Amino acid sequence: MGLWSRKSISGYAAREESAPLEAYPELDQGVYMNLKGAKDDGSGTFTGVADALITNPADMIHWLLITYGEGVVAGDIVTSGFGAFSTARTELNDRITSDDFMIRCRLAQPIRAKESCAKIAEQSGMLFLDEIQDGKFRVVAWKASPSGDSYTYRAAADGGLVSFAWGEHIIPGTFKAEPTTENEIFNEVYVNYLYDYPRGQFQSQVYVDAATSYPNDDTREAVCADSQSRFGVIKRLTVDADFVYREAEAEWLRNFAVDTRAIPRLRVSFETWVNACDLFPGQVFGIDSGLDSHVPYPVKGSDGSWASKLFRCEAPVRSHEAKGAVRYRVTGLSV
Amino acid sequence: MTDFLTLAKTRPATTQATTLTIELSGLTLYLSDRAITISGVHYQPYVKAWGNLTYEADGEAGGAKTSDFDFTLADKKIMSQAAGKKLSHLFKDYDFIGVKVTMTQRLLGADGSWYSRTCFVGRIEGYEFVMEGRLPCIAFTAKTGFYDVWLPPTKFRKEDTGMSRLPDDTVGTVIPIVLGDWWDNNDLCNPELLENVGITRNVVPVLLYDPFDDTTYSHNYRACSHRCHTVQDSSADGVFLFEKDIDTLCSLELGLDSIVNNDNYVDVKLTRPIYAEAFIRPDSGSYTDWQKACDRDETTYFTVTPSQASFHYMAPCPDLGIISEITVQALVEQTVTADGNAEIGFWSNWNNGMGSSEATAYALVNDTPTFVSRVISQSAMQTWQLIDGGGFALHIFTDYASGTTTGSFRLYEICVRVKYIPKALKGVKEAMLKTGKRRSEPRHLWGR
Repeated sequence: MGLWSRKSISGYAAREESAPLEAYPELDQGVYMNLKGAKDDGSGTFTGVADALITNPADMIHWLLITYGEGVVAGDIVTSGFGAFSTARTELNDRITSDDFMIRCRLAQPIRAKESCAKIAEQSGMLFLDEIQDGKFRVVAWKASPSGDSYTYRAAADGGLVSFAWGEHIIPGTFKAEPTTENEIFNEVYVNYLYDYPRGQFQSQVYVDAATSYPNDDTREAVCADSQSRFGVIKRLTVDADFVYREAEAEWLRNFAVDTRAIPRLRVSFETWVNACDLFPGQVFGIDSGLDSHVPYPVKGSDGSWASKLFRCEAPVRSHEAKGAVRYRVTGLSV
Repeated sequence: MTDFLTLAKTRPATTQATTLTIELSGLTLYLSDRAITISGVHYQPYVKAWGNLTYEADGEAGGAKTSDFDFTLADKKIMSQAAGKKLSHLFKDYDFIGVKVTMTQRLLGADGSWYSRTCFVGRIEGYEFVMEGRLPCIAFTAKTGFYDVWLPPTKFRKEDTGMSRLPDDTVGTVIPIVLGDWWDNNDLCNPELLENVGITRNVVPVLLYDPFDDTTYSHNYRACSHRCHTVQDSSADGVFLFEKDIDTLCSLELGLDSIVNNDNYVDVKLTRPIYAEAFIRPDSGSYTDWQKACDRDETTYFTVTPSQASFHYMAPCPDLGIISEITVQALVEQTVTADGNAEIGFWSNWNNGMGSSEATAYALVNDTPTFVSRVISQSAMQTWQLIDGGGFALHIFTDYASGTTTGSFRLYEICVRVKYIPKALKGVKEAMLKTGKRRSEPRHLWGR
């Protein structure tokens, strides 16, 4: 159950660390300091700039893997094509006008390395692919209009966007299309950010609901209003983004939640054979228009064709049949 | 396009195979569900069952990982690779737990060559001996995660150098990892940073590990377990005490060499005496108006009308010590047609009207916001009769050239910096006693 799966949770409760100084109560904590955290090495391995402060979420995951990952080497970090860390860094920075996408974190409770990477990805609108297929690490920044080798299955050199064809790639009798369920819908989003350690609470919040928003966003207010009217219920998502400390990033998370969760999306699933063995979660694929004559694209207001409709892969499942035949069950969410 | 992908796009007539390699120490097993030879390596057909392999993701943001991978091997003789021993007999000579296992997809090309792509790389986590019908088999579970270590990796331990006085309740506590920018920048000397007054954010807690270093007469704290990009290495505005009663951070003035930014840690030493500077947001009869002057927004203001002064009561905070110096900075703008003067003054007895005053005039140009500042020394304050045990009132007003009939000014921003001389180290301890609280971390609601 991830950060984006919580529902109707308001406020937040602080968890206390272990009692620090029973023997020296007069010297209890309450002392704080300024600092700029871990920095890049002299070669700019993580940020591309020598000795730079590490603030980009993709760079943070990279640094954690290399610095603390047992057995992780530079060659395990994908540097080109789908999942390249430097590409994710650039995509993240492109989200913020005239500035970089920055977060900060203090890991002070025991946490598994892979959990820390996943948590950073959660609060950055990014997918962290942990040793999938070839044992390497990848990160993919979510984008509303994904295109190019950073997102598309497959890369241009390997033929470009794959549109699974009815009758050729899609095994008969396995295709299914359905809207996302009401449980996946959120039509009110509150993002708490800027965690204040001395006070032990979040200091700021951005939000959007059917009637109001901060920062102001009339368009998304209307989306929320439409969603609440459609479902007849308010579905609130409260995000405690303790790694986020600036309004721009918090606003982006708010918008991401609304854009992906306020209205139903189409989920497709089908089985294909070994040709999907190189498909990763997060990659974008299409469905061939050959499906049109069987099932028109079932979204109100659409042109009814599957052509040009994109889907973001969720979780490919590989299974084996007798004597070497392999099948893949592919699911995807409409982009 | 790679040859493998070209073949993969073909209709399923392409001959497929899946192979498995298990890398024991000094021996590699080459296995498949069929007997095939690839690049001179013979893969024996002992894989009886392949489990499903899922590349699962927690939605569109978060972690995506490979599920555990199960496979079952027939317990038969491993020819050529293990001198004819049965698979089960290898368990007494080799460790299987933790060894690397690789699953590879193979496609046979028209040229008779096999083309390959890795589908899984992991380690064997467990196994059990089972019967598949009448065939003895061994069922294995493998998973990824070479690096799944606990973070942070270092903890406070008494046996480590400099930790002999480690408080018992700190033993075993992890030493944090800190990433990103945690810089408060409370530089009041720079008017452009006036907006950061009284803001208790952008700071990280430091953990006490030596309550009394009898060599340096200091309290020693540690911030994190690695070298940082930048730490405040001067005496100003780098380390803070949180004064809960006034809900603000107090900047602690450090001695020389008080901060160490080592490859392995960041340390802070608090030495005596400690000078505390408090950024105070004073109480006000009109909190709404006062907020406009403290909201770090130079477009908001409240208007002080003619014959009205802006009074702001300052809390004495005796726990922090004796007031030695006060610095006031404000952004004001006169709104009458004529230019005039702004004055910043201090009253020691506001209930009786104007008492003693330390007033200085600043020239104001009409409709032009202007920064004014004033430093009040201790010697000047010694003549005051401080109210309510040590407080004082701040007064800002404008004075106009004769002949003008109206006078008002806008107060856009204000900050007050009060410097205290602590009564004694014991006094500081008492202050810490009152303000001490357990640090809190946000609760991770996803149950980790």
